[in-house]
Amino acid sequence: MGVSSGQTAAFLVLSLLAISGAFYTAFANKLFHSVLALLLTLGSIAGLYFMMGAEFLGVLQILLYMGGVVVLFVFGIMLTPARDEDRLPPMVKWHMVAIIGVGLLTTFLVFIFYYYTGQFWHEIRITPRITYDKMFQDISALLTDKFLVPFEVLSVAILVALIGALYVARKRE
Amino acid sequence: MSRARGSNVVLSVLLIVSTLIFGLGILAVVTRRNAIGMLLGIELMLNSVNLNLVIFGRFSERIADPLEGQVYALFIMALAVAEAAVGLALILALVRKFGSVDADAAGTLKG
Repeated sequence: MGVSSGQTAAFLVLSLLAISGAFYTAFANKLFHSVLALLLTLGSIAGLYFMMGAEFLGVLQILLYMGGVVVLFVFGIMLTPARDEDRLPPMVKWHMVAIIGVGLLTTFLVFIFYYYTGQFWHEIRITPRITYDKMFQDISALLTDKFLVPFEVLSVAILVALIGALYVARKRE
Repeated sequence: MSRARGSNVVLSVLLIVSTLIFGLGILAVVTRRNAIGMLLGIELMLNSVNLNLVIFGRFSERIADPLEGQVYALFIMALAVAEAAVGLALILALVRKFGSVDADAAGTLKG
């Protein structure tokens, strides 16, 4: 991609928004605030998709995640008894263990990524800016040709998931 | 050359972002006691994986068709939505059975 400084700045801003939203999702005290922070993260990731030339996924991210899943979560919160104090005192010690463990894991992964972007990527090489004239046609051609079987299996899986969700959540006598 | 350098920086930043989001998702799953909070963490993790797939599809030359990463991300996105629906249905059943969204309340199998 032609990396201008403005584009880099936009990348950095979107990345910061995504990370801070994810942080607040993990640590907010009220669950509803957590869902709103998740909305921020999803929106920033949609922006990153747009900037990476994946407009189709960006649109789907906005439609499905920000429009569908978040509403589902809000309904879930409204349908269940309120319980905001997520973290009770006896768990704090184990929370510290979890935070340290996940922090170590994340640092390790970041180190790996940073290390290999120095060596590995010379071999892989970065593609020049790709312009898609007809991205939607290309994606649907892929879906109905090379990925036809996974696509059909996926539709069956979604059908089963919907019926199963209705079955599990039904009112029992 | 400077162009490739700039792309490299963007690539590292994006990979680090997706890693951090994944770690925060794990933390949300592990530390939340509310079952809905755990589902939020799972959504975070799935999103970071999607981001990773799009990044590699975009920046790698080894993949024959750059759109393939996006198609994989598309599949994961559809499965994530189905997963959220099933998860919330399970949580509703949990609330009916135990009267609480606390994941610790469901301790019937505990020895």
